[in-house]
Amino acid sequence: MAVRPFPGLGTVFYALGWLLVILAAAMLVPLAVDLAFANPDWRGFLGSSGITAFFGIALVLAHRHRAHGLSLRAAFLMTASSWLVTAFFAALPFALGGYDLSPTDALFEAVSAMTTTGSTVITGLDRAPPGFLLWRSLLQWVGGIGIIVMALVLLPFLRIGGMQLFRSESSDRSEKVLPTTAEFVRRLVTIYLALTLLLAIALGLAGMPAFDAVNHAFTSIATGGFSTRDASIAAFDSEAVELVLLAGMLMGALPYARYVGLAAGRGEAFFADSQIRTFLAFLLLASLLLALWLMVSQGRGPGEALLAAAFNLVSIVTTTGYSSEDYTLWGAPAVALFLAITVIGGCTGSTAGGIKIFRFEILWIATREYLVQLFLPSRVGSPRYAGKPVTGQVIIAVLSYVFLFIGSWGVLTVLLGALGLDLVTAVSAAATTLANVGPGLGPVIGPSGNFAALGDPVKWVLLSAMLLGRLEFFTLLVLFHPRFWRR
Amino acid sequence: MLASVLLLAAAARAGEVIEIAEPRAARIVDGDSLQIDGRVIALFGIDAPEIGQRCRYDDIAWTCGLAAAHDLRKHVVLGRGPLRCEVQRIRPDGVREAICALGDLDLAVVQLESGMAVADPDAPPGYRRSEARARQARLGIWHSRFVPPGIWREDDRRAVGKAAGCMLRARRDAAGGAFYYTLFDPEFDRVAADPRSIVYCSDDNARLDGYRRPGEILSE
Repeated sequence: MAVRPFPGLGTVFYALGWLLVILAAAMLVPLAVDLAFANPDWRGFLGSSGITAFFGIALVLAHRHRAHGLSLRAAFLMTASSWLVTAFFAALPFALGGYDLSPTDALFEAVSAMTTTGSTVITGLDRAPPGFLLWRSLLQWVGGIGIIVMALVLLPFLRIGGMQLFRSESSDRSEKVLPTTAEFVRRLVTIYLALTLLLAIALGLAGMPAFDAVNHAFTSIATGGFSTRDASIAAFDSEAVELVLLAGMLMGALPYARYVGLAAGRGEAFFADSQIRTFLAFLLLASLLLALWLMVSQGRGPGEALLAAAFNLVSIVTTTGYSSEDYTLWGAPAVALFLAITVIGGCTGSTAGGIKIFRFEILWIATREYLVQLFLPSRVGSPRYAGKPVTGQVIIAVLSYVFLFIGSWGVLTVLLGALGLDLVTAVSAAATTLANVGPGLGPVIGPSGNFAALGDPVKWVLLSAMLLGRLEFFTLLVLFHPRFWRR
Repeated sequence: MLASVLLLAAAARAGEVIEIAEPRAARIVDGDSLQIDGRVIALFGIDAPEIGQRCRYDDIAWTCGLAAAHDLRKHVVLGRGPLRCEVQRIRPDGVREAICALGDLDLAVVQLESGMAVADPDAPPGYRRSEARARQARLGIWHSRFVPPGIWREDDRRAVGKAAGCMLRARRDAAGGAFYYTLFDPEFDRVAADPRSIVYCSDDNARLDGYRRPGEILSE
């Protein structure tokens, strides 16, 4: 069967073109910083910006007359291709600058940045050029808002893994993707910008140097986890900084739709949101238990134990990936806990990765219903979530997602083991990249480790896993189905 | 963070235990050496690439020596609880070869398992197994071509003119003291800017020329 383009392909290329133009403009920011600091790397940014702008403008011009609506399949293609294409071009400054990075390393770092994973192959961050550091952080920040828009606009429309529960009323009735979206997106971006600015100021007040404050504001609100220091947050040795970043990570992992509602005066919806309540309650309980463990096993004081436990736990659950210390030294129970929480994830409609809280809530609702039906088979239940019915289709979608997640985790672990990694490194590398967290476990890629040590084949596997997880599996997998490409 | 430094200073002999409560108080010299107060310690049983050493991957000569140093530093800065070093033997120039651990974590094993060091010929069997695992998985230096650190040091000693990028500087001060500094020392940038300072690419070679670490206790 011949492959013929389907409707909406022109829109996809048009949108990609604009994304590249925006990316090229973003490259001018680190260029300016390098110029200001008299660092010669600005040339690499100029070249990268030029190349990216060239392709972007070419795409926009070539398809401006064909940009009409977005069909379902075109929406899938746009979602997946926007990540793949922008990651490739985002890697150009890393590859073209004077950093001695192989093409694999450049792409790994770019993908890790855009998917807000935060695994890094760079050592010597403390002395890295300012433009380079800023580009890493800026990419995470841009990736963060991209994730929010994707999660709030595209994924519900595409009904990915149960996300149809978050479709707005209007999109339920129409087949169009973007009926009321423009205003909504504008508000999202405004809130994102405001929170970033707030964090940067707070970090400065907490004692962080201005350049570091801006970079960490970018990477904390995006729950990305890149730092300007090799030793991550431990390098700052400041409780005030840790507290501000803790707040930043939490803010980044809550549903942004609720922020929009909060800003419009609908505060009760924010505090009544079940995802938010479940998420915060879980974090509080887990932090308290972990802090208790630290007090008992290491004799730490309550305040110190709670901050250490909460910071690192929240960092992993929100899929940020900062470390204030090496928690793999906290004993086997703590290491097991950190492995388990790696995949939980944040709230949907945020920058966080992982399985996501709402999917656990749905599965809990479904399991509870099933349990009751075991001894009351004639009972007809009508479970609801966020005011909408939890249909069989939703449950299947969530179960399929979780199945794919766990299945991918297993396949990746075996693949990484076959490439020579030990079990702890393989299991944690697969988990951390699929869930877009950042650090793994063990001496190689744990919080004190670095992904630079891994061989190129392993890096390719891991960056693919980052994209697979970020695109919530289905968005990428549909492209591999032959029927997707037939008219 | 309160830093209380416990220094159990026995006589300078094998069996001596050097311990600090806050690991980040230790100064990293390179991928297999650190300084705890006045003692310079080389991690027993391993040899990491020298600070100025590069390894070759395809046509990229990457700074594996620096990477090894950064890795060691990261483990130390992010560690909590006592850093404890048990001296195994003393070199003629006063450097103590010791097994250093953060709790149960042997720093030498960490460097070996990350592919950031090679095991010495007389290293314990466990160390050689760690090296073998990293080599099999092609981690760190094992996915590159590199000159064994011992041979690299000798070549560096004979080389005329040091690569400007080596992050180790030595200087004789007005009082006659001769000290070497690495990029992790707060004084490094100031010393590097001093036209009288000399570039070294290996701490061992700096020591052979008579330089010592600032604050190093020279005789017991």
